[in-house]
Amino acid sequence: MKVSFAHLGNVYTYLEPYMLSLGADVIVPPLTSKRTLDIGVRYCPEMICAPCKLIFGNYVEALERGADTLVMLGGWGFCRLGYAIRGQQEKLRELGFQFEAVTFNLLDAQADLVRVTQFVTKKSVLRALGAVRLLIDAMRSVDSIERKALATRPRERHKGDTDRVLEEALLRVRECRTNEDLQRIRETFLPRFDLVPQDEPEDILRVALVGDPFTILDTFFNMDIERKLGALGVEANRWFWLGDAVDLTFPVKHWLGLSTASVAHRAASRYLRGDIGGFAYSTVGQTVLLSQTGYDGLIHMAAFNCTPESVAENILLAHEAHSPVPILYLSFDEHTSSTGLFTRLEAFTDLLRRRRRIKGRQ
Amino acid sequence: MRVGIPRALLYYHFYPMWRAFFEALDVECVVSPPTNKKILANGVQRVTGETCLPIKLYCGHVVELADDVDYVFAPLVRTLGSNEENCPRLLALPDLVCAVIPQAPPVLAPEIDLEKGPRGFAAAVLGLGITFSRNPLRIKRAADCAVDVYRRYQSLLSEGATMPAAIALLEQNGRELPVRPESGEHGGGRNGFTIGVLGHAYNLYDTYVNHNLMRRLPSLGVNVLTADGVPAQAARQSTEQHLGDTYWTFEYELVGAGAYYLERRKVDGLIAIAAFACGPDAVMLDALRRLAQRYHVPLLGLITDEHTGEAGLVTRVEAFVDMLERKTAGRGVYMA
Repeated sequence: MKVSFAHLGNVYTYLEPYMLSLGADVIVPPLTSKRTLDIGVRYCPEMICAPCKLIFGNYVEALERGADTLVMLGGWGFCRLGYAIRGQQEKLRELGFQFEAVTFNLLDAQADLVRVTQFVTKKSVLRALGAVRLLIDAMRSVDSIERKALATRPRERHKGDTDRVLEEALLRVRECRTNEDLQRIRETFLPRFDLVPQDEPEDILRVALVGDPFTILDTFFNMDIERKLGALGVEANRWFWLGDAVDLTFPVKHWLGLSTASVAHRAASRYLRGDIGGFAYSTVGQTVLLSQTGYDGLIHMAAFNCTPESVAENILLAHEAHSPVPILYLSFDEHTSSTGLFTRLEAFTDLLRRRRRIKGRQ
Repeated sequence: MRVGIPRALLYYHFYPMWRAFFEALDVECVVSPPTNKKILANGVQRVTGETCLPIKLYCGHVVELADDVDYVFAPLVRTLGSNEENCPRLLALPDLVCAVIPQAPPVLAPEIDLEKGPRGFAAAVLGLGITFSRNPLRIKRAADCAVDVYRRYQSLLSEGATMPAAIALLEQNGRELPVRPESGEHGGGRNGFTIGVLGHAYNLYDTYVNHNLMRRLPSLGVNVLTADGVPAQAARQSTEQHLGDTYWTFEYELVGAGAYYLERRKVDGLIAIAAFACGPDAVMLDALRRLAQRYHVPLLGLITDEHTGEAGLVTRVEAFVDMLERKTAGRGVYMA
């Protein structure tokens, strides 16, 4: 079995060791690039959102490199990607590829993790448990590494230092095969971020990113927004971290109403009665929560034409007067320009700094 | 008491039923006028550009009603069956209305989720009726009356009436269509070929947006079939057969009806109408295209938005009909 999957940020760095531990051959598709986008645009329905097109491009590039099994993102409730999957599978077969597919639903992550593991592994359940332990550890390690990078980058004295540490750390994660490897990676690299020469400028801003997970995680699609923000002296944070999705205490916490999801949903319930698909309910809730926890501003990021997120955007915009902090709404598609994005971020950070100065004087 | 019903979105599917319910509780129903320039302009202002046109129109219709009524009726239709869910924008409809039209009167928004069974439905209806009557028996009678009217509406549609015609007929309390047309109330059919027009009712019957498409086709000599002619169960089965599973509440209007007509070879061509920025329709159009290809039936996809020009739309439809005429005239010649 030669397994492959689509890209979702740095997820490939731990999916690869995980699948290898399950005894599968893994083919990591090339990092999402212009070619990936061109393939997606060529074969996907025009009006579908760009993430679907990029994901399709990843599948093609994986199959071109010999994959025969695809873990496909989608499933019930997971926005129209769940519906598009059938079309994607048919199209891939029309293009002449032969493969087996298993779906993975981010909204049902824990159950689907079990299902995908069972599908891929030929080893005993006990050996599979070991792989899952490795996966969870790796996810949490990557989260810690990325968080460190987000905190260090706006403070670095020499541009690029943080990213060098980040890239090396991620490379090591990809090579890990045991939990001890990960322990060593954490012990080596997390302190290295602290060793990067840093200054503490007075006007460091704190901004939270909300919106659909694909746009937040995929650096090709979001034009490396976290790096751009770092260059503008902004410490960014994301509304979710993938490691939290595999928190094994989640079901209990959720039942008790204490999970981040339940807390967010309660915050959203004033503006949105219930779940409407995708991550809109969480987006609205997290925007409400994060706007009250000391951030200077929020950035809402979504793919152009993402239906649930456009509803969230409409509702949040209508209640803008209630927001204690400014929110920038960014829409991404295959035509988004890197320069245009940077200009808007610059203007937003200028606004946030001016606001801070005015408040400081009051 | 006056309840406003916007002439948009699910009005076409359910208005006779809603009207019967409210009138049985002595509540006056006020429907907004047909879409016009002012309504469209008001609606477009309320939401972001990315939002689909049907929602923009709905907002415009609510604004039109806002000053005239005590309540606006905007139900939250979550599911109408099992294994399906409605589009995110329709699920958020009452919340959207409250958010973007703050001057709207209080919104009545019962949650209709048929997966919760008859009890769930009864609770929703009771919750709605209580605004107007303290007597649960009276509310139940009103609901029964509404369901009765809905059945009559459905039977008129399955006999070939268009939705607007059936609505008009029920408003006048008629019992039968005045004339039994040969090939459906849509008329036409002189040229001897049939086109399936697939799309949500609110895209088919809002004449301002689609420039009266549903009247143009018969005048071009075409026999028109729509999703209304397809029994619900059959549409579901066709969808499951071709796609493996149902997914959206109003999927039957496009994919279900399309598959049904294609399987039974009842159509010479298909026209599918979708609104720009409609998430579900974007993928459904693709599924329809593949289905049509499988059956070698030509498909014309029309995307509508607030900028859709009459000339462009008419030209495309006329060209499609011309092509079909040529194709049927030379039967046996395959034209891709």
